[in-house]
Amino acid sequence: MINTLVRGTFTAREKSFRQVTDEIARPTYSKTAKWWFAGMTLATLMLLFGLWAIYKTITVGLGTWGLNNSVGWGWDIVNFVWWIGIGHAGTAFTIFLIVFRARWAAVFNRTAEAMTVLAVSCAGLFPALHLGRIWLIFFILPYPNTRGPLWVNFNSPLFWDVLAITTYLTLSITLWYFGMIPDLATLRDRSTSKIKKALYGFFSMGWVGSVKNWVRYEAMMKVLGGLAAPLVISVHSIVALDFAISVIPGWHTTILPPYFFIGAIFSGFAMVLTLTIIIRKLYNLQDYITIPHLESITRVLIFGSLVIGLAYVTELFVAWYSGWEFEMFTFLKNRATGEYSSAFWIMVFCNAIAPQAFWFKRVRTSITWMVIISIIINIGMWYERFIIVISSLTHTFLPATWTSFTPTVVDIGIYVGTFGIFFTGMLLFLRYIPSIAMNETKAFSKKSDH
Amino acid sequence: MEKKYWQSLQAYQNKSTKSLFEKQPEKEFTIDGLDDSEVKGNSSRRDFLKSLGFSVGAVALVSSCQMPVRKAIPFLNKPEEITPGVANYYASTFYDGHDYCSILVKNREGRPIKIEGNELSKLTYGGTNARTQASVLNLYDDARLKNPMKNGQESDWDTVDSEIMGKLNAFSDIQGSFAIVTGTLISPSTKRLIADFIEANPKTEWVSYDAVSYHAIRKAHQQTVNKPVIPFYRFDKADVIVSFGADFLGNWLLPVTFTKQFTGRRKLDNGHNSMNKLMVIESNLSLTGSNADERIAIKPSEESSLLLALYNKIAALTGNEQFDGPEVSIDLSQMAEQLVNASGKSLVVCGTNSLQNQLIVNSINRILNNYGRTLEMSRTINLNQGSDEKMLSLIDRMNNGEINMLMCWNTNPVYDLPQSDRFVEGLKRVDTVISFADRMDETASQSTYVCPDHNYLESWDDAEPLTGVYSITQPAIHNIFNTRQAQDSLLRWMDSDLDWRDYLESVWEEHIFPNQSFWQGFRPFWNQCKHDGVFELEPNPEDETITFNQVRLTATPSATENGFELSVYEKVAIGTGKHSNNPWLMELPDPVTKATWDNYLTISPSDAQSLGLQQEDVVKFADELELPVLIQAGQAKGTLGIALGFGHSGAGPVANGIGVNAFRLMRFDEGHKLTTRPGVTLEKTGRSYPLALTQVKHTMEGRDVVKETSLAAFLQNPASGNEDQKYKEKHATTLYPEAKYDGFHWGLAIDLNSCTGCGNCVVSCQAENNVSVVGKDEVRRNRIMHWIRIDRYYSEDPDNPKVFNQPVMCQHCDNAPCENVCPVAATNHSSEGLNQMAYNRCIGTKYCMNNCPYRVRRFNWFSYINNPKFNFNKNSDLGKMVLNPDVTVRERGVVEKCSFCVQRIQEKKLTAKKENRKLEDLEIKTACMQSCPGDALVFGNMNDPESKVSLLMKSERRYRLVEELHTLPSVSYLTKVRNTSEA
Amino acid sequence: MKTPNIIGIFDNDDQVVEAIHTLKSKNIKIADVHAPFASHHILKDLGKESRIPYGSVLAGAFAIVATFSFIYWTSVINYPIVFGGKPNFSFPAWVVVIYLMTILLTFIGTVIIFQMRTKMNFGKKAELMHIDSTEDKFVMIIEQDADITEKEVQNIKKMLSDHGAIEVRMDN
Repeated sequence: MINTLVRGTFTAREKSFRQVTDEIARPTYSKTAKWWFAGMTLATLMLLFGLWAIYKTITVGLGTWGLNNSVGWGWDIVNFVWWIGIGHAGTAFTIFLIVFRARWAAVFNRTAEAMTVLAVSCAGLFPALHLGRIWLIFFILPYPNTRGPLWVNFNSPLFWDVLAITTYLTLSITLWYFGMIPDLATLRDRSTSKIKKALYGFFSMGWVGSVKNWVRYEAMMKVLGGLAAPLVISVHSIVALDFAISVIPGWHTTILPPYFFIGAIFSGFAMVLTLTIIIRKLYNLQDYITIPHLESITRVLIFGSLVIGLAYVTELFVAWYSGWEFEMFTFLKNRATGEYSSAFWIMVFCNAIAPQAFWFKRVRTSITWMVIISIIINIGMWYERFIIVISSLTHTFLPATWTSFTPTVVDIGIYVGTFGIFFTGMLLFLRYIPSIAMNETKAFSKKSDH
Repeated sequence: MEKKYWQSLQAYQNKSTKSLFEKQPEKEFTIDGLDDSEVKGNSSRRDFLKSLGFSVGAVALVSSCQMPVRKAIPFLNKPEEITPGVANYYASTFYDGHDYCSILVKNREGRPIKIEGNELSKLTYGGTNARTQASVLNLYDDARLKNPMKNGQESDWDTVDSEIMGKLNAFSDIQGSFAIVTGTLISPSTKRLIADFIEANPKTEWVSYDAVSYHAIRKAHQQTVNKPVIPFYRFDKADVIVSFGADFLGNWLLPVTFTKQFTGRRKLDNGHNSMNKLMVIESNLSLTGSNADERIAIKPSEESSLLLALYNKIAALTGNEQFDGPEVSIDLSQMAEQLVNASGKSLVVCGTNSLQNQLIVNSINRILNNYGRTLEMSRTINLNQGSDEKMLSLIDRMNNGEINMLMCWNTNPVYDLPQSDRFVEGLKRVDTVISFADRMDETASQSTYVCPDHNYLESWDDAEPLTGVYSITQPAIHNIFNTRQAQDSLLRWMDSDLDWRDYLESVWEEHIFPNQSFWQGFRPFWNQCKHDGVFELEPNPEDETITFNQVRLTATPSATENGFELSVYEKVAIGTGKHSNNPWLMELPDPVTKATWDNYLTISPSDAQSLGLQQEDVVKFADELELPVLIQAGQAKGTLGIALGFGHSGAGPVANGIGVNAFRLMRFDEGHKLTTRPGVTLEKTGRSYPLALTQVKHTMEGRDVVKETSLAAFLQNPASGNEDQKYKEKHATTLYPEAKYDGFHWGLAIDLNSCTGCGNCVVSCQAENNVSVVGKDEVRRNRIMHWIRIDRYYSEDPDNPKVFNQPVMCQHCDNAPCENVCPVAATNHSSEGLNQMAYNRCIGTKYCMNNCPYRVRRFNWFSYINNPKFNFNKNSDLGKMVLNPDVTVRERGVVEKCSFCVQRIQEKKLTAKKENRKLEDLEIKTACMQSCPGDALVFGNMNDPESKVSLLMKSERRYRLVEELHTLPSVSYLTKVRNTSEA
Repeated sequence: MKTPNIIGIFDNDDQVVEAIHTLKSKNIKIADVHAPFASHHILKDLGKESRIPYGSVLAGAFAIVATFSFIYWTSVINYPIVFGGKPNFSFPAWVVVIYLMTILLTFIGTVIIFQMRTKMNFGKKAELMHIDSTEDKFVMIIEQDADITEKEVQNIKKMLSDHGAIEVRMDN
């Protein structure tokens, strides 16, 4: 369905194989741009802020965060879920590409996977840091020990979560890395600098493009993609189980797993849209990342937006239909009309209403609008997690325990710090690794191949 | 009679030889290898305790970092009564000049670590209040003086003694005048000692004076029954109680006793189907007011006219003389009718220190025939003997330069006198001022000499809270600092050879022992008294008969001045501010306002609205004082409330500088210290000041968190108000079969009808379980660590709401949501139904906290031990002495919560096992249950159908919190029943 | 000593495909083709298939059994602990763990099998036939049988040139 729209030439203009390499790999051999240094400085500053906040958290205690007796999870988990959501796009593109052979996904795949790896790493930082005793984090592994041996609680969604994130991170790093090997080999063979040759040579694992290996490579990638397909659905669903398994109104809803999954795809695609538009501009990749490619993403976003809107309505309806006072309070009073109504309506606007503008061809094909709406979606998705995590915790069963949550500078610091990690990582990636899979581009730009 | 005399005489004669008794009283213990002076008397034990308990404990504590490491100390000569790891209990008495409580002091390795109620006491029956519970921490207060002081410099006893004795002699030679100002003394021995001192120094005047005075009650009785007494109020005998501003459940006279009496009549288990009725008429919402069945909010100045109106109504119904009084707007005829219907079984009390009002109260009680029934006259309350008039005249004499030497003992007039400026002026004209304060308090810092008194846990003393009801204070530890008991100081200055303990014993032998007939010899009698901590003489029934003089009753019309009527009150935690430096008390949420750590002005919601005041807005009021306002439901319109006990400058680092000293707002009126002040105006300052409230939502939002019914409805249907419980229980199901418990299945039943919300359990739990104090900022961030939270809800009219108290601790759910979600298995279920926490395993994901529907889990956000940012008891080597070695001190980053006092469960189980017997019901008492003055909590084995807790849980009133979640809590609540007529 | 291979360098994968067809029809065995991207025609025409997916299935089966056994042993046999009133054998809660472990172990297994089959590893030296074979050149490698005649070699060379090889040489 989506494929048909970008059938025809894969690139905007006819490109020779060498042109493809030259143009895509340009950042890796040409002089580093000024904006890159500026961006890197900014990202490093953010990273340093984050490191300070992490230092405070670990040395002084979790009291430096805005949490309290009723709100045990705050910005940490909001940001964790948000980053995990963003981290969904890469693998989703990989699946589109490998499993569904959606050609348009190939232009986004590499960048999206880099995003995934970085975003999941950022996300993984939060559950680690939110531990009261991070130095005992290994307790979460079921390893033989002298305490009984005391194993872990396999019933705990948090354990599932750790497993899901670990699996997902392993998987996305591997997919990203193996996807890169042919291109690394290309760079190895093109580089003139000895260091680069050695490094690309080390990481390209002796790849020469032998057809025997291509066959095995394709087979493996298919298996991995096939494994990634259920995982990409389950990772965020399992994160959702962290909430759905609990008894807290606002968390304890069966709709959460699919709702989280679609939300993740939604936010991940929005982030890819934002970033690729920027990369496209900075590296003059308009011929490769074409408007029809970007349009494909906007179509996914409309779909996501509709599903999410439906989920919001369903939640409210079910809360009302359940007739259970606690549910009704949480959804209809606290969220929709009460203390958190401003956050709630921001969320509804950003996620369910604003993306509907993509129904219009003019909006869908306008770079400016795409950037604006994709950023709105990412803000909206942050609010969605905020609403789910925090509004549910602040007002639970016993009114005497009701409270509110205010983030501290350390909370903000860690969030900013993860942006630091993300952007430093992205900038390094863009500088040293071709942001579009060259071998795929070459394959898809061949008319004869399809 | 003859026999008794002979026995006594023999005992008397043999006092010096100590040979005729069959069983010679043992010395406390003897230690080989110590020289005579150490072994002599009972200081050997105290020395031993000192060296062992203090020094070794201190070294162990100092060298440990996260938890008090308890090293096994080999006893070369093991004292008979100390076994490491086993607690010793000493019966003692807590009396601080304001509160009386008979207690047991729990000692571990020579250190008092916990106060328990003494169940042998016929007055407190094992109950305590929060101040008593917290008093153990006062012992380990670093702000205490470590040496005697002279002119603000540290000195030594020899210097101080010789100088004071020199001055005493010098002033005696020139016929100088001395004065001793004390708080109310209820110690018969100390009174004798003072008499002896006066005998030795005849120009000595003894003035006793109370921070909060009930002088008018005594004066009124002087006029009406010719005895300056406070009768012993018997709330347990009263069916109808009317209180005009007497907070008898919180602060008034004997709150622990009164709570026992009051709640004892509100039990509806065991087939009881009647209860008392409490009507409260007051301006500030007090603890008593919040437990009232009916409450009327009035301005303080309306009280006398209302009292007279009530009197007239009752007089009209009973055919007694009526008096003219001002018009009143409130109709009290129903109240009068109920009182008259319960004649002889009713009680009217009034907390106002106004002779006029107290006279009316006396007359009401008289025509209701309550004297001799609900007001016991053969046993009168000896507390609050202070005389406001005497104090005023002393101040005059001081200012006239007539006093040469002044001793302040257990009192702090510079701080708590309403117009202390005049007292301070007077002090300047007194040559020598001696203070026995245990810290450089406001008076001590103006004194020439400070001779620091022992803490009561280091002291020998006795008490006679009610006439003929005695109790003993005995030391549980050798004095930690270079302090000396004030009585010993007086004896020393009288040049007596006796030490105080011998003196005390001789007083008992000569004056108390002869009054009884049960014991034949003094030694066994004295040992039994020390063992029990209490001793009671039979009252003389003749004293019950009174002749009542009817006096002319008058009432003043209510004030017409503009502005607010302000009344000062005592907080349940801080009281008169004597123990303000105690962080446990400072952090105890006030039962009414739920505020900690602060002083504030309470204002009614409607007044706040009309003045445009928001919570925490700072206002300027009387005499340029500034405080934030706290909008308090139930505060009478047009009135303000302010708590005493704040605004210290010399209490210690915890208390200094918090709030304003409300004693300054009191005033003397016709020789009576009054707690009210009319015509106070408020002025907004535009600033705001953060208050640390532990609860911000005050209504139940229509949820049935606290279930309530009326007595009438309860009598028709015992399950009234709780009708949905059965349905919920039946319809909540799970995938899995319900867990079975073979042996014990621990449970706790909480009778909401007995819980007054006083907060005693909170402090008791804190002391038992080493719960950290976190300070105001952290409380404000909702990070209080208390394992018990007393939720307080309001319903109906915010200007005069119904109040509900509900203690919520870990509910030990059998289907605990917290356990399922812990990834590392740090919290799980025991085979006895306990929801356990393995602190060492906890990595602090806080998921359990999130998933707890009751929000009872607490996270260690910071390291609360050895952390200068939390400079409370856990940050000092001394303060750490109070830690219970049976309970882990939790590290930063772990979750903690109520354990059902698992250490107590294990201890008693082991005892029973060693004795090869079955564990008895009620043998295990959790800390909260042990000292509950309302007996609201009952802990026991739910598997035993005969246990008290099982019986309570069979009650139709029983429900569990958020039953529909099917968490199956082991804690059950019993519906609150209000004695109101509506069904 | 190994005989040198015949190497043909192509510019275009269409030409490679045609060359494969021709060579195949002449029963000449093509040892390998180095291509800059996975041209599916080449892969298909060379008729090569991988058995890696079978390995993956085995790994997955092992993962399911191993994970279930491990959880059962730890939670029911070795150290049973009661959580939230649930029985020790609370299977529904384990499904997620088994599912995830299956994916993870299958995944790792597949990668390991791939590494073993291709003998690729970090730092392995690349045996390039042409410097641009990862860029835009296609390299066809034809192994010489031991008994091949010089004429046949020339014939193959010619065939390659005819199909548009820009360079035909012998490997050393």
